Amino acid sequence: MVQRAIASRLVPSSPQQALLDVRGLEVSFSGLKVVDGLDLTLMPGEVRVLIGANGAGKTTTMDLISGKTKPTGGTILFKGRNITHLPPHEIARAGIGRKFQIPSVFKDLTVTENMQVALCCSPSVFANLRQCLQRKDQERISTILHQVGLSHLSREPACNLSHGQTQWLEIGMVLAQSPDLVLLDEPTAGMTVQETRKTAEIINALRGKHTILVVEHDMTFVRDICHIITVMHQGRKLAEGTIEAIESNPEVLEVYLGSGGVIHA
Amino acid sequence: MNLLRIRRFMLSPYTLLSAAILIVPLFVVDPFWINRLGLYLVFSILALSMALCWGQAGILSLGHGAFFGLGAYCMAMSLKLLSPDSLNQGTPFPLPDFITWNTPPGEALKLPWLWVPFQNLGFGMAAALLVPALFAAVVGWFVFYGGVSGVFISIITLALVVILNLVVIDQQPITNGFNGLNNLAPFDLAGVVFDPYGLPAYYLIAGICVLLLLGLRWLGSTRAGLLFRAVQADEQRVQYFGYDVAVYKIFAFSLSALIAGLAGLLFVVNSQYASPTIMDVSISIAVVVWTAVGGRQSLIGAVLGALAINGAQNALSESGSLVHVWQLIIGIVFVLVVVFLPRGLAGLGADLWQHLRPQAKAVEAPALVAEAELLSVPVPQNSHQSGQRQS
Ligand SMILES: Nc1ncnc2c1ncn2[C@@H]1O[C@H](COP(=O)(O)OP(=O)(O)O)[C@@H](O)[C@H]1O
Ligand SMILES: [Mg+2]
Repeated sequence: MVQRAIASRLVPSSPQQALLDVRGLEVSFSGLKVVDGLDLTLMPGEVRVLIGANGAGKTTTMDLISGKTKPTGGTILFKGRNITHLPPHEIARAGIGRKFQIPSVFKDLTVTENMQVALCCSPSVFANLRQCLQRKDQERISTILHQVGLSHLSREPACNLSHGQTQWLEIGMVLAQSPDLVLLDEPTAGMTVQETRKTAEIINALRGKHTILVVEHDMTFVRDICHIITVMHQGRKLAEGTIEAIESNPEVLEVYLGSGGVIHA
Repeated sequence: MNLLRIRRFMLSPYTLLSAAILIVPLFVVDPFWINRLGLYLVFSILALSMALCWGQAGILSLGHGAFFGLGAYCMAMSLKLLSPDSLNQGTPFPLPDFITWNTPPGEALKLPWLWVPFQNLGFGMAAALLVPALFAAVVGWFVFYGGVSGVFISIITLALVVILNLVVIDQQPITNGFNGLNNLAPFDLAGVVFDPYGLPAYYLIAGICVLLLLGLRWLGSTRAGLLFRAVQADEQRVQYFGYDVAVYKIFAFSLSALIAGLAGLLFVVNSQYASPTIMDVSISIAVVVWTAVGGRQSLIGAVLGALAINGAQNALSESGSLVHVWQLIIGIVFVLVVVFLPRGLAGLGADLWQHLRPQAKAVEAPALVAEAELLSVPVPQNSHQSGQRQS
């Protein structure tokens, strides 16, 4: 008896527990169901790619997970906790960070200041009534800026960055936030081939430290970073599996060929 | 390094302006002018509260007259009860003269409950700060958690001052309506009498003004100040880093209201009355104009804007002929500044300074820009190199 009780306490339950567990997620805008009964499970440490034609509901799914949009049905469990109806800042505090599809950084602030905002040790206004940076925060910011290749621009106002640099800055900011789950919405959109490769390197360096859900179209990039893909179509999960399985899935091929064959682009 | 810092500190616009405010009485001896300058500094403090609210936190309040007026009324109530008139109403407790006049003959004289705690001057002073702050916190809670933003905040705060003004006029039996509170006792704190025409009153106001100037500058350099700027740049985005934006706005709005209340308190010390005319729409708009003309993102600009416009108004009213078109002139100046100098006179000053000293690299003025040296993140020398940029 006693031994069993101890044993059951010793057996860690967490490795089995999903980090993110989305069940039957639904949202409709003026009658149109944009996300329609979506199930999605991410295990800790996983890198998952979400693909699907334009308008499939990928960004909306991220909006729902991060609290930007309120679902009309379904639940979102994060580390076993129901976060379905929390406001965005509480979801962020629970450990979910997000990079938006349209890069959104604070244009009036410098690169370093952007990072400082993201490095949210304490979200309370009174705790923040102190001078800006401790030594270890500074070091962390320089490490991350180095990681995303923006060290040489640390004092530059964010509005002077190129498109690719802005994307990296936003990825860096999400890292500074050190969330357990990172949502990346089309991190390579508008990037050159070299920039895309560098972004893949950044994401690969994060493997293991964060669980990552990334929306992406570029299949070379997808091959570089992940093995399990979830395909969305009209708000539903169409297929899920390894790259090879997805690429030979007739349903997926049909949907994609219908919308321009993105998968072999 | 240290010497350089000291030199920079001595020559910083903050130090220069603070010093100027503190040494002015060496050159101005006329008590009338001491009082006038004190009044302008009271308005400067009100402008500082607007610079915090609007310049730092991005909340354009058109109702700051309400907080100014509340502060003034709280202080005036205490000073009214301490005045010889109130003490000589033949009652065992102090009673404002207008309450005696308003009480029908035969009815017992009694101090309205709202007035009772104000018999204590300390209570009146604390209330002058806390009543506006709490009022703003409650309004802010509804407004900012209710998701009201942009121009609607301005409209709501404008409505607020209109309503409060009407209430004060309407509640004649306890507020003395249009006439307001006058015949006040001079402000006497721990034996120091702050005669409105004397130096102690001037230095009380000037000292507080300087402390606020430095205090708000410090606030701008904290992480909270950085977050205010981030909220202004992209309010939505800040939430996804875990910050409750509403709390930051409520904090800024309430602190700003507290400072406006403090300005109201000092107004009563300086002018010895409180009336509905100092908690109306026109003073609410005026403070926005002073702050905009001076440069809302600059604390120095706010102070100078208030001093310059009130000084000019005074000069014109002395000269006579232009006094009738004053409103028109100030309106035109406001429009010109908004259109051509969105950073106000402070922005213009900063640009000129840059122009005259091209070797000075750091942008000195827009006061809230946290100085790069605070960050002191190691940066390679050629940090402005842009060879790597694409697109
Ligand atoms: N706030 C909204 N209101 C109305 N329709 C929306 C809203 N957000 C998204 N949609 C619609 O939902 C569909 C899915 O959009 P989105 O999630 O952005 O697709 P994806 O990111 O997969 O390209 C689109 O047809 C879009 O027009
Ligand atoms: Mg999208």
